[in-house]
Amino acid sequence: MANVPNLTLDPSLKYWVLLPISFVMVLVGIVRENIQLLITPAAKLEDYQKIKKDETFARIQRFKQNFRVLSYSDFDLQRTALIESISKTATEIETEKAEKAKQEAGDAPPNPFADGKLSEQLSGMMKGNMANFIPQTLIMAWVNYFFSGFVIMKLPFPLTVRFKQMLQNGVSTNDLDVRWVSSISWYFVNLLGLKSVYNLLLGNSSIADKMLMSSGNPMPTLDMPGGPTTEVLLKKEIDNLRIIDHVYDLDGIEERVLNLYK
Amino acid sequence: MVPFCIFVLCFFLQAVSAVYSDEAFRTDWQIANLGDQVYSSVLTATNYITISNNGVLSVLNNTSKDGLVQWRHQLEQHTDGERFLGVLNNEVIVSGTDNLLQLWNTTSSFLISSVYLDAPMVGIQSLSNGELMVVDSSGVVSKVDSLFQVSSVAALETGIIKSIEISSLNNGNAVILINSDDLYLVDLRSSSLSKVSLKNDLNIEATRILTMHQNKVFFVTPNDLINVLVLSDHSKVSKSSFKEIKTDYQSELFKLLDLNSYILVNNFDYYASTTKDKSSIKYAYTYDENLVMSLSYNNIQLFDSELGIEIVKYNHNLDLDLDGAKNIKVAYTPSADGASHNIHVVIEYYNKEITSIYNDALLWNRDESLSEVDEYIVYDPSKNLQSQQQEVANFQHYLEEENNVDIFGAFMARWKDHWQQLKKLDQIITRGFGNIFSFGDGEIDAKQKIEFGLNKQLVVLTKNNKVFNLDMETGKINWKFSQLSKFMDTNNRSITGFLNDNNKNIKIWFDDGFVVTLDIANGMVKHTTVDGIPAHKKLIPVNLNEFIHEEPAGLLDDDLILRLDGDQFQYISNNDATPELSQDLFFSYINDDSTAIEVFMFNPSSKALVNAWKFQTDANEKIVATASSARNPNSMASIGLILGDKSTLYKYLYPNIISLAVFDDASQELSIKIFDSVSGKLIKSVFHPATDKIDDTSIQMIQGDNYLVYSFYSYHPTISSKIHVVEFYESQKSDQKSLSSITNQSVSILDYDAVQPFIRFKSYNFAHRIEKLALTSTKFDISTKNIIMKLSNGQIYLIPKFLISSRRIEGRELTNSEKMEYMNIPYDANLPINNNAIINHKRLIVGDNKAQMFSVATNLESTTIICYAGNDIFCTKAYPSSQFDVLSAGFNKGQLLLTIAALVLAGLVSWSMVERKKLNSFWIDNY
Repeated sequence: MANVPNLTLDPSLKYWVLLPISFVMVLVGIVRENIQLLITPAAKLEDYQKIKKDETFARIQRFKQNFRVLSYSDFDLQRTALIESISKTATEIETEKAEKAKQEAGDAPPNPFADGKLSEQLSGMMKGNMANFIPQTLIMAWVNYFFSGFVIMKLPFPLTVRFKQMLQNGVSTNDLDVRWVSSISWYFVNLLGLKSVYNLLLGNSSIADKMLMSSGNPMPTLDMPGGPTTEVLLKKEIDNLRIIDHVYDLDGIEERVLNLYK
Repeated sequence: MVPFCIFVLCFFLQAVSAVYSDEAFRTDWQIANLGDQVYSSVLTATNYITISNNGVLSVLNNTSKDGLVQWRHQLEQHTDGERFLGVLNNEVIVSGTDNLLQLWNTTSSFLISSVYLDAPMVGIQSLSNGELMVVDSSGVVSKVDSLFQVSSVAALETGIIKSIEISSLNNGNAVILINSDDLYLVDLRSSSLSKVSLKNDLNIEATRILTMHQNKVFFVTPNDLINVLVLSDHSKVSKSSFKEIKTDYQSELFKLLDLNSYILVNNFDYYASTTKDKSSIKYAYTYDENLVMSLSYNNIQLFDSELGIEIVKYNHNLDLDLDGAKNIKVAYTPSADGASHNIHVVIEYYNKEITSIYNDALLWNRDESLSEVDEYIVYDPSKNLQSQQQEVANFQHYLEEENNVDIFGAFMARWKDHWQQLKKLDQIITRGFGNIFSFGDGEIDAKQKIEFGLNKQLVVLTKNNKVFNLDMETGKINWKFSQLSKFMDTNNRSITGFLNDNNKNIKIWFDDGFVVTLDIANGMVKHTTVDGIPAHKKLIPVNLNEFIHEEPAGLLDDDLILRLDGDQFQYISNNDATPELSQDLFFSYINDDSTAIEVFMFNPSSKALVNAWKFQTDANEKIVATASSARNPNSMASIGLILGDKSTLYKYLYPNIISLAVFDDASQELSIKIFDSVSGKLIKSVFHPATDKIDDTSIQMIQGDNYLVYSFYSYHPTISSKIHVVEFYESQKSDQKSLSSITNQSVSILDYDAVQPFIRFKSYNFAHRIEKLALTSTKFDISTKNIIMKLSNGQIYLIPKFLISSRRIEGRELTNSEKMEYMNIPYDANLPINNNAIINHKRLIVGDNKAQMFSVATNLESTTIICYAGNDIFCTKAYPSSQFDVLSAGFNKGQLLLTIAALVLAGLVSWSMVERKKLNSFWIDNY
């Protein structure tokens, strides 16, 4: 548009406004990432019973997938041993549960929020959020403190008057074309555009996304009541194992080989 | 939420026009003058005190070499009476005008006391005991004592006092000579009077009394000799107490007529005849009974007049122009032991220069010519045609080289260029980085000054025909040309034009067609010609938007219309590069008695000037002020106002509007008439009745793109300045455009003629008296327009135009939509004074409504240079919408780097902590 004037801008604005804002935003991103890592609690060791249960299911799964490589005798031996092991595990879990139930019968019903694990998860989430918006607030305040009232660049595309309030913040004239934008706009440009810089500096962590989306943390998984219990599932698996119709992969192998070369 | 709140709070940031304390005296400068003409002056051992014709009381510290004004005070200007000056005990300055006697502290400028006498005073004399004597027109003699008490001592038996001479005697008494005949001696201690008549009692025939000094009366005899009457008794006068000394001095031998304070002593000729040095001694003065001081071109001597012995001789070797001296003041201060003799001499010249000499050295030199600026030119030395042509020639050279040389030649040329650039690399790096990391005071280098358009120069022509070239950044005088009067005296010429010729020369036109061309760079005379056209008056176009100029209004002097003898007009183009004008130009001319305005149409192609229309005022009416829309050709300002609901209220941007303020002397009524300067059609007339009690000398007008602002001082209903604004819009409602095209350039005059503007009007009260109005001018008119007001209290005040708007809402709450409109605020009839908007901070700017005030755009849209040329010359940089395109001097680089350093530190610390945590997580079991 011919009507947009070419203002003369002080070249020191480049060095003292554009560069510091970009540099500071990268730095803040790094510091923020570090702080998030520091406030994240260290990984806790898993519950023995849970690992045992998971491992048992994995073992069943592996057996069901690969039993074809076993000869008939080996298959029988393995299945018998597996079933025995499963039923032992199921019994153990059942006994443990019964004991726990007996113990808890005298106590009040548990408060899900009093659960240490859950509150830890919630506070972690809150810390994550704080680590997101505090640096953002601080940078905005910093940009406004140091760089309020400068026009630093001309956008290559026209904008409507409604952007004026946001992009020409601190410039006290009403007649300046909206293409000329102030330092706060450069802050927004950086906010959107620094993702690749963070990726380069911090590996492939998704810090830029986190800076944009303050609600990036997933919800913690909670045990859902009402589903089938582990021991029931294990007993079901025993039944499944018992009814496997075993076929050995090497049955009739000689004929199959000869047929290949007939 | 928090970021949002901070974001919202940022909108309350206010821009101020004030000069911050660390920028004061750097962004602005002032040439503080003593006044248009020194009326009376006093020289003491430490101070040089003057009072000027226009009532400026100034005190200079005469012990330092800078010769700067210590303090000044603007006394009441409008007085016909004489002004008097005296010193009380060397500590208090006494100024008198009419009945008012004021006592000022010499060092602190405080007004100690004001005393109203019963009758206007006619004479003031400091007495030898430190007290002061005042004589009023009714003959009452009063004294002011060291406690600042004024008491009457005696009453002279006299009729009308036509002339008065007062002389102080060594014993504290005083001799008063009334009407060159009645000689009184006033004994101040006994409050008694004695009187003799020179003619009747002493039988002395004096054609003229030269002066009185202590006990001597110097008079001219009928045969043109100077005789001296010596009084022997210092307590009373009688027939026998006088002795007449007859001298053989011819009165015209000496320039005593011009020296009103001191006088040649009678027995000085003894020394002069013995040394045979008489011819070189120009002036001599007496001190006490037996000291004589002589002043010659190159030395100052002190003699014992009784013995004729030289006491001390100071060779200043300044080759003084004593023939041009109008007044010489001398102060003699011997040391307590009498071993050293200190002599201060201040010479006031006719050409308004003042020189101060202390013993054998020049103390300071001032030129008061700058107190009366007649014409001015602002130019940018980096923008002359020559440099532009040089740039074009360089490009052409490159182009030709590229087209004509073979491959090898081109390669060699490129290689040579690059090698040259490489050689300059170190300079670029040092300069570039030096700039970036300079923590200085925000000073910018010469190259940036050119880039920002700040290296402008102001060339002024003063009323006493001197030309000065001033640096607009620092106020330094680059050169001065004071020889113009040489061209004028012999031929009785007067100056009619003062023009900028391509930023290279200054052309000065005289009424007989004589033209002097000065080199704008050094003030040397390039040539003088007589082939100019005899002219009486230079005319300025009504609107200037057809002129393509680097600088906006006020600086357009390249082309002009001259009014010749016998109401003939002629067009003169001084700039060959002026583009052909596509439209007719209109010029207005107000006749000498301000009773009519004539508008002429100039056709650029035929160079013909025809009379378009004329407005003749009624009897008793006179045109007291005019304004026209001097349009900025670069203007990028909006064509309408964007309202709160995002609709547009279109401005009526007709460039051919001329406004007149017509005052009726008989009925004391003021009418403002707004004309279409093309057709002469009256667009609007505003009437102010006599009941407003308007001061017609205070009417000021300015016109912006779609508004007229005028002000006057009036005594009803409140004693204050009234500011009125008239705004023109295309229609009453927004989003209604009567004119089809969007840019005013492409709308023809006929389109505007068919559309009547919708006019809004509002009035405001302003507590101070406004002496001058002007508008800020920036390169693209994007910065908010501010109105510059010079107030009578010596302040220059900047007020945004949106405060003086016709759209401020009156009598109801603002609607939500109106609140969203840029700077729309409820109407308040009283405009407040915002101390932050006084751009001259603590400087006192002296001048009246005859002064010139203008704003010059720079290449930086945010920055405008505002200059005031009245009694003082003052220039400052102003930022009507704050400095949005430049890193201001107040930018805190240190703090910024500190925050960055803190962040880097935080990054390093957190990084090491993270590394430690990662390591720990591998080896320490937290379960």
